[in-house]
Amino acid sequence: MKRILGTLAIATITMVSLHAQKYFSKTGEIAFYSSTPIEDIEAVSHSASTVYDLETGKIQWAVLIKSFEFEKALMQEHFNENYMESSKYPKGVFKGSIKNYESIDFATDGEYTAEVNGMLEIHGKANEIKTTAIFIVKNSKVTAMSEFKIAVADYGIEIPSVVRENIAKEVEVKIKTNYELLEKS
Amino acid sequence: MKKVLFTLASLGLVGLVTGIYMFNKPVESVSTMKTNFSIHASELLMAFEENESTANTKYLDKVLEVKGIVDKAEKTDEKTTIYLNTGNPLSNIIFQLENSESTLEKGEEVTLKGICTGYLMDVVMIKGVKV
Repeated sequence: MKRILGTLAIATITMVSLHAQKYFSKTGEIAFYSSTPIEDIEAVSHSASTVYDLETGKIQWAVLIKSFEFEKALMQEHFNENYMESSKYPKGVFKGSIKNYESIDFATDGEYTAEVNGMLEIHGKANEIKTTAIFIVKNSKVTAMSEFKIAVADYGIEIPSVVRENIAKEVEVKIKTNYELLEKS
Repeated sequence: MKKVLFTLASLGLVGLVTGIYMFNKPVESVSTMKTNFSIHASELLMAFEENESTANTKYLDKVLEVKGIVDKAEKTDEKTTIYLNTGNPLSNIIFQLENSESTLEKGEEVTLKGICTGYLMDVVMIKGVKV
């Protein structure tokens, strides 16, 4: 009897852990580009955190605004102090889900297109984002990438008129990471 | 009169050059910056876990020298990331290194200097250099 119970317990634990298949990364890359005839600005963070739950299709990203690195010191200063107010709003967070998550199989090599939908919060304001992402599975390695545009004004970010011509109204965002299986300890 | 004009022109020129220089000034390397705090990896994490906003006030944008043991060294094409052990298996002090070339390995004790950008599940430091 005890043995049966033991086996059942192990089977249950195995099933639960199989169901809780989460993938994560702490070195997600987020880059953004603002392009105008006057000036091109780009910045990148290599330390975004993300978790993707294979069983529910839920996906989350978080990034520290101050972790974005620019080529020019003055741009980085203006970005943090004047536009993003990163001491007051230190994080950018995306919480969403993948609609067609059931068709994405991390066990089989291939390229999968995902329909992503969720809320992006930066500078204290949240807006809906609808985009597509690509998951590339190769030799049990998972790479994810996505691109979308956001309007600076949607996030209550004010650009002073003096530099209005230098900064694009729509900023292009590019995201890329390698997901690893989150091992339960 | 000529002298005054010449002085004004020179001043203008100096201003213009300084302006252009300031505008294009690249981001400074951390190795030449003054260290604000020296702290152990586990203490730094604890400060953020206990009270994130107090820790933000104290450490955000500051130059920190963090001592700890390397848990993991992760290399991609462009970047090397060093994870310092904090005693908490779920959270590390994560350093993005300024220079991607690094010989640091797991288990090594090290002091890294960088700029603190805040706390997600981990404390994230950028522009890391070995002290």
